[in-house]
Amino acid sequence: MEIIDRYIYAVTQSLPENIREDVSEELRSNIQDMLPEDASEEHIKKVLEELGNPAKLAVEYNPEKRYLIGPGLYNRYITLLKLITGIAALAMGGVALLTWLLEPGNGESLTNLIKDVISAVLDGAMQGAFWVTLIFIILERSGVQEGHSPFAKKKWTVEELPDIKDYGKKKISRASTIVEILFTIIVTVVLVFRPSIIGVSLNGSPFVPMLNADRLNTYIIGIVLLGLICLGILVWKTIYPYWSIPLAAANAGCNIAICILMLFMVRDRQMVNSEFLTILEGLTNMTLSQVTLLWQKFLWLFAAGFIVIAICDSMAGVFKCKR
Amino acid sequence: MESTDDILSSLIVELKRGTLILSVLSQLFSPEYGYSLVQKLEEKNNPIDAGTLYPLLRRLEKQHLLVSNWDTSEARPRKFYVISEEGKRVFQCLKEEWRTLSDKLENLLEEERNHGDN
Repeated sequence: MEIIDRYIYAVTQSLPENIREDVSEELRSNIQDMLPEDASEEHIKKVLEELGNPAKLAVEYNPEKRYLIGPGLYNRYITLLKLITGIAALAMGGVALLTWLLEPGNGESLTNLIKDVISAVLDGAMQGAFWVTLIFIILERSGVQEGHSPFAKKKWTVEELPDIKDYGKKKISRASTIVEILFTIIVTVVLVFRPSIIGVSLNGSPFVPMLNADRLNTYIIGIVLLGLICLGILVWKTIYPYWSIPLAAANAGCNIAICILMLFMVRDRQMVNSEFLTILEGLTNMTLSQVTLLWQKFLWLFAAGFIVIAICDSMAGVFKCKR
Repeated sequence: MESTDDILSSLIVELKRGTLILSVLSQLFSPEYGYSLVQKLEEKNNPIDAGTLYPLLRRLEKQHLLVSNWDTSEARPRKFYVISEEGKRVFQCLKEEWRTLSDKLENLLEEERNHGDN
């Protein structure tokens, strides 16, 4: 009898918890029905062999999807995996190189630089692979290829077939998407891992970071989240490279969220590294409070410019999907 | 290289797969438990692997085509399956579909035979 228990265990251990008990009871009663009274070891073996490999039986029993990324998305997944892994590796490697150039003392020797760059490249590749896979798992499970977009889970119709000859202005160029991916990754990585390389060296003064890294940390979740959402939208753009209403809406939503986060950061006076302001004070004839005020004005101007660009980008998306 | 026998047997499995549900539903107008259904189908010359049938019963139940019930009145508890009202409707439609399909296929096969005779 022990061999039956082992067989049932082998079948049910990989099943979801809520059906495990029921399946094992049912299977046990079925197996016992297949056996004669006072079954010998031989009989039991024969019956179990008839039922076949428990792993195979478990697959038959399991109602859940048994794969992470199905055939519907697989080709696009591989294409994007290569693309984004490559870009992320390049971006992280670039950031490591930049860190070394801007922050002497961090790793004086060339060996250190090579070590840093290689580990950053590997890290970038791993991160890229992880996030792309995660995004595709979500796409797979939300049933994107059944409906056309994650937001409209309706039945597919012929109207949705993209017009090959007349993509026209709706078509999103692959090159611009790749540039955007690169940019998104670099900005996110720098803000999250290396905020200290955003800085200046004025009139031969030592290099001073502009941002207060500790304060920046309070915004980290927002930055990471928005970076991922942007990346998700970019992945979507690569899969369906033409403007559509849901895409334009997502793009606009993402832009708005970025602007809001940026406004919070600009408003936050502690975001500016005080050392940086002191250096500015030293270079001008103004007092510290005047410099601070001036710097705040500059930041607001920067924010305004940023918002204008975001609005233009959002509008462009909306208009392009109408053509 | 796959041998011809392997190819043939995998093709036969594929061919049978679609008809399995039809044969299972047809036999469940009265309640049966897993093994009794295996035997019943075997007696009627429609054998089905136990390893294929048991999970199939659960799947059909999940799709609301079957209803199940544990019978604990006897010494050995057994799970009985019986066709549901929805299952009956689906069964009728499937049956129709199967008949048209096999008629059409018969025509194609007949055509081939005439061709061979010439």
